[in-house]
Amino acid sequence: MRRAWPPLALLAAMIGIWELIVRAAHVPDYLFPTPSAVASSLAGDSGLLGRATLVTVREIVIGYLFAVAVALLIAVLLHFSAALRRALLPILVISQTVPTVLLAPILAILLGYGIEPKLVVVAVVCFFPIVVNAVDGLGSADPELVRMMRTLHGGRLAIFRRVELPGALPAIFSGARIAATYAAVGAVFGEWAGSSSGLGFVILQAQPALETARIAAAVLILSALALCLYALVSLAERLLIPWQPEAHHA
Amino acid sequence: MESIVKTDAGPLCESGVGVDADGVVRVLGGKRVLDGVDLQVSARGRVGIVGRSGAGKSTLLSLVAGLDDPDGGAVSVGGETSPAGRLARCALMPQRDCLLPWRSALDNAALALENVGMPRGQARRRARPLFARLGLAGSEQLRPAKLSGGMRQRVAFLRTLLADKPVLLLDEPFGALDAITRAELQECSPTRSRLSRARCCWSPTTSRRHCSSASACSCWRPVASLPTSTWTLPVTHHGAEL
Ligand SMILES: Nc1ncnc2c1ncn2[C@@H]1O[C@H](COP(=O)(O)OP(=O)(O)O)[C@@H](O)[C@H]1O
Ligand SMILES: [Mg+2]
Repeated sequence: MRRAWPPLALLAAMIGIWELIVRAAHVPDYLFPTPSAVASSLAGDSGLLGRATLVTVREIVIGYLFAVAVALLIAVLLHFSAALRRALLPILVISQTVPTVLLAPILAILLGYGIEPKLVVVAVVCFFPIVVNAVDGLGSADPELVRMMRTLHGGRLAIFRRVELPGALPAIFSGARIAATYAAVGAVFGEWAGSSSGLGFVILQAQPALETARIAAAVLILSALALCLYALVSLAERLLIPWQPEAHHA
Repeated sequence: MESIVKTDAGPLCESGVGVDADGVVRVLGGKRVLDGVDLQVSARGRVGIVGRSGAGKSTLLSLVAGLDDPDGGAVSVGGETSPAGRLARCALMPQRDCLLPWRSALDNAALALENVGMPRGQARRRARPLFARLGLAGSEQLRPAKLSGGMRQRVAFLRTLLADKPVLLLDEPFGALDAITRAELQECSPTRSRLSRARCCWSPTTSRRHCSSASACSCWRPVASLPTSTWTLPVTHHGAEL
């Protein structure tokens, strides 16, 4: 807990300075809200924001889990087939150059205005870092360990289960942690392309009404959600890789 | 005590397995690391290989083990020349212990048993009694990161024995043991410590002085009366440079 103090102290100082500057310069709230205005929006709109948060959390969590499952499945297939790796990996890289902002409206047309297009957008933005890191991790097993397994009755599957997969876990979690920070943004893009609920929808509605404090409150909640997902993934990592030296964790 | 591990390698052991290297050449990185090596080890024989660092001892063991193929000449183990055939007959204890960091010492030792499909609980029950024999009692549940270098080598040695292959290839197996522990292991009574049915056992060592201690593996085998021979790896041009 001790290492949480420096960033918290810095954050508190920055919020204090922000409040002072906005007040001293007499900036109107709809242009740039003070932290206290954001706080009162959080309290005053708690019903609205709470319902929107539940919707977005569902999109983030299901979409993220979907991304993890598909990414691991594809990574294992790519790991076992060099031909597939040569064919599919370049296509995956190219697919990442298509901006999600453009993808989201097409998905909304295809899949409608329910939760499905949001899940797909979240999964699409989260999927790539997990696949790339997992393929790298699975492929970078120590060749000496593989040789040792081969002289000890170790077949292809035994080598995968007992050497390659456990050895790839740190890399897989690196990808999963990066993906965790993308999930919230993915959900907002999905909602912007067509929805009637969620934090992205709240932001969209507050914008023409110049409810800047409410927008800031929604953004604050989104960051908190991303942070929570990141913390959960880090916790899972610590539980699943107990042999990893503690110092490695961020 | 009867042999502890039974695998389908049984018939091999009945016939005995010898190792035959005939004019073996291996080129690595443009250098002739092995240049026409001839060596015969009879079934039930034991040989310590002596050669300076970089002479190609580990390279030769990889070739015999079936992990690598010679560029010239032939290697056969029990008459089998194919890499798969050699791999089926040899267990190699690598120079680096190569323990899996995510497994406990016990699960590392039992690795070969799990690889042939034995359930984990049963594999652990087979491996557990051997820990006390090697002075490892109490460290069964520790991960390799918590073991000393010498303990790690002993776990790796157990892991190799439990593969129950007819040929054991030990690459400087006790280099990380202190003199006291090494002497203790050599004092193991041959009759009481029959852990493996291995008939043929090679240990490369960097010096003749070490060879007698590295051939300590004889005390785990039922054929302790056989003399251990020493065989010096010919120094190739490349080795002479070092
Ligand atoms: N993959 C490789 N590529 C190039 N040279 C190698 C390779 N592996 C081993 N060598 C060289 O072969 C020589 C013999 O290596 P090794 O068999 O490990 O020696 P030893 O076990 O006797 O100390 C060394 O000089 C080493 O540099
Ligand atoms: Mg060596």
